Amino acid sequence: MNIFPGKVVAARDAKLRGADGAVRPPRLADLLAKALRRLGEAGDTRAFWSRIVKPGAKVGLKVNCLAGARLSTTPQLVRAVVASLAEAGVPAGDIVVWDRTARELKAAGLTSQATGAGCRGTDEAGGYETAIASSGEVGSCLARILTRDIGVLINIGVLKDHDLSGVSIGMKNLYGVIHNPNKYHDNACDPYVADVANLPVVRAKLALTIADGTLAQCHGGPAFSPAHAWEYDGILVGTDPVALDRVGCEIIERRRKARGLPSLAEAKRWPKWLATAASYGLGEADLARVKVLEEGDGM
Amino acid sequence: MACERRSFLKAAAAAGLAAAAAPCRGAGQAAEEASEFPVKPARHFVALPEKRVRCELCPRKCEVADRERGYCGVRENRGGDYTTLVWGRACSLNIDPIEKKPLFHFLPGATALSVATAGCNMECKFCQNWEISQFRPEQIAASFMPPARLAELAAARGAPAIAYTYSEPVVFFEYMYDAAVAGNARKIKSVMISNGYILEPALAELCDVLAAVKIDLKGFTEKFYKEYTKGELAPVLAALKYVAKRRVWLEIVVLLIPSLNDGAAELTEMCAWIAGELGPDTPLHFSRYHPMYKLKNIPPTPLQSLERAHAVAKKAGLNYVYLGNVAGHEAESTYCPQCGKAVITRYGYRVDARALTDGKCAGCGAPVPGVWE
Repeated sequence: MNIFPGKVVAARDAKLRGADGAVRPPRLADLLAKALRRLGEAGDTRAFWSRIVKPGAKVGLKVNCLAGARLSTTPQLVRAVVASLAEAGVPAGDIVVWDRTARELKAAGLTSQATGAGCRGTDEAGGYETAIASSGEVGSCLARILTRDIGVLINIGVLKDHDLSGVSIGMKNLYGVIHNPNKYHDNACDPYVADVANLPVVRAKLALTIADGTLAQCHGGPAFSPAHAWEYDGILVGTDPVALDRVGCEIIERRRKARGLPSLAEAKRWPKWLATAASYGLGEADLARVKVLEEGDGM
Repeated sequence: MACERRSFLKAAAAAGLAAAAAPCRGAGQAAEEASEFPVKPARHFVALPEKRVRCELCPRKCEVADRERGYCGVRENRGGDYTTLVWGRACSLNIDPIEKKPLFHFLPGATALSVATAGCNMECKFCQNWEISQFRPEQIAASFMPPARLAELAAARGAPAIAYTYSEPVVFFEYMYDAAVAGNARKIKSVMISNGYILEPALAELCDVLAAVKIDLKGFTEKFYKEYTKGELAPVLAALKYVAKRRVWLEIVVLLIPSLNDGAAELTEMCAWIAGELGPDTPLHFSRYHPMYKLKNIPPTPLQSLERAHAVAKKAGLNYVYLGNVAGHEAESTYCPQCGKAVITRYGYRVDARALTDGKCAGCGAPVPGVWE
C-alpha cells in the first residue's frame, strides 16, 4: 500500500516545546496535520486519511516501547494520530495502539487515557498465530492483532540508532509483529528487516509510517542513552517505508557526524537491509531519488 | 508437537505434578506476567562499554545491547547487567522413562523428572519441540519451579534423575546448574539432553554436577549445521570430546533426515570420528525424523536408511548402536559386544535388564559400560 512511493515528509517545529521543555500537544498535532497534508497533497487531513483508511477498517498503530518511557513512541504523538483519524471519521473504537506486551505499553505511558484509543499488548490480545509465516530468511508466527484484528497498519516507530541494525525507525519496529525477533539480529539484521517488511500480510496492511523524532537518539540505541538523545522536535511521515528509513538514517548520520561519532558504516552497522528492501520492491533506498518534502523548520 | 507437549503436561498432572505444570496454552497465548518469575543474574558473560555485554555461554557469543536479548531469547541485558529470564520458569514438566531421552546405558527402566524452559541457541528447521524452543519465555505458559522444588518432586515421585530436556538446557544454564546441585544433595542425578552448543568453561561447570549428557549430533558437515541449525559443527565436536574426557556418561543421537545428513560418506566419517575420538563404547542412536517446523517437505526417514546407518556405525567399530522411533526393532536392545547376548531388551519404553548383572553380561561376564545404579 505504498501509495506515495519515494516521498517522505520531514517536519520540524523549533517551537514544539513549551517553556517547561515539554512537548506542546497542540503544536505536535498541528505539525502532524501539516505533514499528512503535504504527503498527500491534500487540502485537509480528512482527504489524506480517506486514501489510507477505507470506511469501516480497523486500524492498528504499532508503536515502539522497548526503551521505556524516555525513548518510546510518545503518547502525545499517538494521541495526535488518533485525533486526526477521528476527525476523518475513524472512531477510537476502531483503533488499537499495540506493541508486544501490555507491560511495556504501560511502562511507556501508552494508556487509553493518554492516547485516546485502546492500548493492547500482543500478549493479552490473542498472542501469535500457531502457523509459521515465511518471507525470505524469516519464518515466524505473527501477532494475531496484525493478522486478524486490523485491516490497516500504521507504524509509529522512534527515530533512533540501533546497536545491531544501524537504526530502528520504521521497518525495524516491525520486528514487534513476529514472535522470534531475537533470531534475526545477525549480519546487521540483513536481510531480516527487509524480509519481515516483505511478509505478505505486512506488505498488504502497512499503509503509513511515522517516525517519532520529538526526542531522537544518534547512538547507544535501542535503549535510552541520555548522552546521545537530542530534541529533534520533528517527525517523518511517508507511505514508503524504505525511503522513510533512509531519510531517518541521514538525520542520524548528520547528528553522529556533528557529535564526532563514526558513521554507521564505519561502526560496521550500516543498514544494508535498506538496499535489500529496495530490491524487494518495498521502496526507495537511494537518497538521491527520494523526494524529501520539508515542512515547518525542515529536516 | 503441541499435542505431545500437552500430553506430557496432562501426564504430569496425572502423576501428581499438577502444581508444577500449568496447562500450556500453546504458542502465542497469553502468558503469565514476568513479575511472577525471578530475574536472576546470568553467568558467563563479559561487560563491554556503553552497557553492552558479550555472552560467553555458547559459541554464538552474542553481543547484546541494553534492553536487548541474545539469540536464545531468554538472556537479557538490563542496564549492563546480564540476566536470565528463565530461572525456575518451567514450561514443561513430566515424569518420563529415561529411555525417552534417550539414555540407554543410564539407569535402565528408571524415570526422570523432565523439565524445560523456553528458548534455544540454535534454530533447527526440523525442531521437534519448536513451540517451546523457538519462543520467548513470556510467550508461553510456565510455572515457577525452583531448583529445590524440582529435587523434592523427583524424590517424591521416586525418580532417581532430573532431565533437562525438550528445549535447549544450555540456555537455562543457571537454572540447570542450581537444580543439579539441589538434586545431588538428595542423591538425585542430573542429565542434560542438549545440542552441545556450549563453550568449555560453562560446560566444565556443568560436568561437575551432571551425571550424564546426551548430545544431538545433527550432522557431520559445517554446511548442514549452518543451513539447517543456524549453529556450527566444530564447537559441538569440541563439547563431545570434553564431556568424554570428563567421564560424565555420554550418549549421542543423530536424527537422520533423508537426503540431508544420511549420506554414506558423511556417516562413515562421523562414526569413525566417534570411535576414534570418543571411544567405541560411546552409545550412538540413529533416530527417525518426522516432518516438523520448517522442514515439512521431506518424508519420514525410511527404516532402510536407519538400518544402513546402523551397519555403517557397526562397521566403524562402535559397540552400541541403536535405532530410535522404531518401536519393536531389534536395534532398540543392547547386545554384549563380546558374546552377542541381549543384555537389555527394549520394546519402546518397556525394558528388561535382567541379563545385565552388576554392569556385566549375564552370558559371558563382559563388562558393559554405563551408569547402572
